[in-house]
Amino acid sequence: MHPLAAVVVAATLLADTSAVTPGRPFRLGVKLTAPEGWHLYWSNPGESGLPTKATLVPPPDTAVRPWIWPMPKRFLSPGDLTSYGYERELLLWCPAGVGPESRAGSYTFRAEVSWMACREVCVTGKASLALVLPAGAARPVNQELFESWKDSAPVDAADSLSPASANWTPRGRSGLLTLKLRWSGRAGRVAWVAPADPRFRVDDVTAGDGGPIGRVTLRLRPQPGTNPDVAEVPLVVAYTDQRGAPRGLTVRIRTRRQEER
Amino acid sequence: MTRTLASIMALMVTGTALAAKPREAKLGKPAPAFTLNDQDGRPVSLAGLKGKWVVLEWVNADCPVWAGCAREGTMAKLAEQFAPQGVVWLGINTTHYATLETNRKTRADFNLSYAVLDDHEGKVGRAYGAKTTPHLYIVDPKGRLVYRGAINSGDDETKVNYIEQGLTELLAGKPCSVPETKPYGCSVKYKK
Repeated sequence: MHPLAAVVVAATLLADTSAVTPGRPFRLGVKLTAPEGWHLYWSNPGESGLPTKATLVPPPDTAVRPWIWPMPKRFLSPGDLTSYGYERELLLWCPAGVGPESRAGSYTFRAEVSWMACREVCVTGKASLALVLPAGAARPVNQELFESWKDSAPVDAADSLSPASANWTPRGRSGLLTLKLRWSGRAGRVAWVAPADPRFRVDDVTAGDGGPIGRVTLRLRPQPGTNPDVAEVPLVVAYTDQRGAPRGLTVRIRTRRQEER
Repeated sequence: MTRTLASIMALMVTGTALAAKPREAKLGKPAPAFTLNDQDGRPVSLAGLKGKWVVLEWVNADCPVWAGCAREGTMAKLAEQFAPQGVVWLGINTTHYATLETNRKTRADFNLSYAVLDDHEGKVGRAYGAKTTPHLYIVDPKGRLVYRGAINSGDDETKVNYIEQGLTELLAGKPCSVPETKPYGCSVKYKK
């Protein structure tokens, strides 16, 4: 076994509150921390690697929203391999809330988490996590952690506050489509485009240069040998803003199935 | 090229291609030729296997995904199952720090009856576009690539073993119904 295989990734389930007040929303998160030099993977790991997976089991009377995935980085490794993920640390979080009528004394949240972490070698791991929150007056905890990851997700292009609005046009049947990004400020420079859903692949990305309307053509197809039944595919567009900072947009592409309805 | 054709082609290229990929082995086309040393230093060439069905499996004992599959005997069982029908199974190790000794140990540790070839230089991996361990390819007796991708569809309940399915179809004279899938596993650890 490789000496680095003894590496351990720490996984914890936490909240931004010390207690649950029924009717008052809070945030839950799964935090994964790997040692220096290691990286973890996005929901779509790319050409290699395994996606980080976390399944949250909330207690009765509790609603949780889907995980918010931070904007990943693109990693290029020898052999022209592209993958997507996070250097060292990842916080997957979601808004949560307990119904105002709830009278439970405490709330137990469970999460099944699995991951792959790589440096020169890769290790896999999994954990069954639990977090018990008492009912009562809430005191904020882990604020710095949740605040630092709060704005790290790609902005949905359909959001009124998005730096760009997007529309897209399919071109033919082989998955080719043209994405038009209408920037409200200075145009961003597109670096890469990838689907958040690993059942799809994006190829042949061509980005137009500059201009208030960025035109990106790409090929979006299901992975070979599959036929996923989904209504939409969220595409993440990575770009650098006018200050050269890396940012992301999510553009939701409706699949042909949806169009045929 | 005439001026008109050139200007039409210039109009078609309206942007910059991001991350252009090198050409890789294509399905239905001749699989890239190679000669690599097995774990005992004996050369094995693909050309010498013409007339036989060949399965190529990218391996790496340090990859928990490959090791997990190998520990279950997934690949070894298939190799044994199809050997009587003349299918040649070859492991290829493109890990940049692997040696012949590494490959001898991998065979011993995981009870592999098939050879493991030394590709630590990465030439064959790159020619095939090998991305993960495991990553599998099937070459037909005419030397053409007829399958590439994952060993199976993963851990879902309706798990399909693409190699078992593919070889069964091909040996019965039928085409491979699923000629390509996305491989999964750790990245192949290429030399920089």
